[in-house]
Amino acid sequence: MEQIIEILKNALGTDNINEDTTKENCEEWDSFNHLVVVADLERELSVEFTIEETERMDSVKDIFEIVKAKA
Amino acid sequence: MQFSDYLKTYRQCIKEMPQKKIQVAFLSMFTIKGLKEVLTVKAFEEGIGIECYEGAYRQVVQEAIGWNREIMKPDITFVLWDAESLLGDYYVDAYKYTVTERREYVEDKWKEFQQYVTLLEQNIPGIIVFHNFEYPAVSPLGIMETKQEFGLMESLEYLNRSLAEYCRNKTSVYIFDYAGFKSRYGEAVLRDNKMYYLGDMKISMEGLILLADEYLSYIRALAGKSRKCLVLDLDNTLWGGIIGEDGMEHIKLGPDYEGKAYREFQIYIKSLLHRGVILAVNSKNNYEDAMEVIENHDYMVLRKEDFAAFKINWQDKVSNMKELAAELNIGLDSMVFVDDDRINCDMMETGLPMVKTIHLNGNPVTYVDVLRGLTDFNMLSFTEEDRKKNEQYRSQVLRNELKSNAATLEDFIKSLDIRTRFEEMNDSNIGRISQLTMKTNQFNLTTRRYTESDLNLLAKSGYKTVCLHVADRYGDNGICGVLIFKPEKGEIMIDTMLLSCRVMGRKIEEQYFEFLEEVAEKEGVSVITGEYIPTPKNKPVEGLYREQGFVCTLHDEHRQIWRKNIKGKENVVLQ
Repeated sequence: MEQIIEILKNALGTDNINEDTTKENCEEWDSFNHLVVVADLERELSVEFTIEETERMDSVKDIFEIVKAKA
Repeated sequence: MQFSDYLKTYRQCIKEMPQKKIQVAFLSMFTIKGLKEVLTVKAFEEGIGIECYEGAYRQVVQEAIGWNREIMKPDITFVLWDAESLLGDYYVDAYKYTVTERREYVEDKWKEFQQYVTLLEQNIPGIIVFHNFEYPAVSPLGIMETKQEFGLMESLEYLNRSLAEYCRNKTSVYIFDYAGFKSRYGEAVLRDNKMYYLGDMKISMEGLILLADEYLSYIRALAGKSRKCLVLDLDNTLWGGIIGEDGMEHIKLGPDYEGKAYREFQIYIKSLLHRGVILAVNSKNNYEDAMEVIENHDYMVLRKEDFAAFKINWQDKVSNMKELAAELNIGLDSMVFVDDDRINCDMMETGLPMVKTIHLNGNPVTYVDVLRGLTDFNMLSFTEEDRKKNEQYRSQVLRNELKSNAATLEDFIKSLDIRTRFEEMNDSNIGRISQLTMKTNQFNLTTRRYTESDLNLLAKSGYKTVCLHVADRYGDNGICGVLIFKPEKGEIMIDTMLLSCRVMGRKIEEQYFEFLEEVAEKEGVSVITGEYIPTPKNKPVEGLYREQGFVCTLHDEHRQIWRKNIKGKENVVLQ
């Protein structure tokens, strides 16, 4: 979880990320930055997401669930 | 550095920008988000400040038509119009057309594109750089491709040739060899299909970084930072071995093996000379020994007269370099130094950091590629005066052409052959409708997010939801718009009106209002009202109601309400 939060902080350019962060409540997390988030997650965690999975990533918790399921 | 690192660094470096900034504009038919950030950081790292304008997504022509040249004066504009966006389904399925049809279609497309080039040249000041058209990595017909008369590859070649010829004498238009760029790096590097499907990124993040490197050549040239002079070591650089020790007979320079590599390296350097690069020598040698090779060796390509200056002595190379700069009367920051010796290179980098030092690794098979990869010698042909003169000349000549060639937005939109169709919400489109309400930010008057169950609840409460299908000459774009409204108490209230950014800038929104007026007529209703809830992203629709003849009846910090009386119905009062 911490790792995911760090990756998002880097990708979105803000320290204001925590477990409860969602696309709705985070101004920096727009549709373009979402692509950067996906790219960074894939690279740092050495995973590959399907389009379907990336579309389901609406919050930090969603990402955590999806990543966990892949492990 | 990774893509996201560039984005992060961008936020820092824009605070520390040099005063003088080169103005750069981007107009693109696909997503290039992040490109301006990467380019800005790369330029900043070279001490060049740039300021970027990103045109609206897929609105290259609209931007050009509406360009206000009194306010927007880019020094350089990059136009990214890919083959697929221009050719539509021809790019993936050319062979459904006959040969004749193919020739006609491509000729039409070329004529059209030619008009766009002229339009941009007329309307946008400064230098304009067009991408040429990329070739698909795999031909649709495989080995049979070359047996086709005017197949896809030939079509693209035709377009590229026509574009190159058309622009050759246009002093302000440059062609960026996007096809060459793509062939150099390959689709595996330049395309990430996931990002393409997710966000219409036709060039991957990694690709955008590589593209920014290419663009930097233009920026450097504009900033006057291109380099003019190539300064070469001799031993193990222009020939294999050390002349002072091995003698003429044993140095490697000839038609075979290692000697051939050195010879081809010299041939490449000579081509730089023909491009206008100044050559000089900086070598630790006896002058006579070195000159003997240069003047008399049979396989020497570069001869004495090709070099502008020689520093062949036992002095340190840093002092030599300073003397060369003085002798040639050019700045040290215009020089590139090439040497195979690690220590010489380190001393040069430390002693004269403004010189670009290239350390060759001693393996001559790599030398040509090393030099070929340098973009520092690129120059635009202009000096500042030339550019100003060209601007004046261009404005005069083009003002005359402008009358005959006046492209209007209406003409452009007509040429798109847009066909739209409204469809009531049903089981098969409700998913897409919901998705559009969730994703759309720019052309969205109220930004209300609806799940499918929300939409069903709305329907039960008397709201009508319709979606808009859009097709144009390039293909079917599917469902691109959503309109949700409620007829109630003698008026129609707009709850949601949105358009996918893919079809913005084409006046399609007018269809919504026509549709609503038809509904109003049918329902015997005389008033349409609508809400506008401003967000940071939906500025594009700020003036929409006003443009459609609505009047603002409420305006507070969170929302506005607009109202329009449908003509001729005010007198009809049905109870």
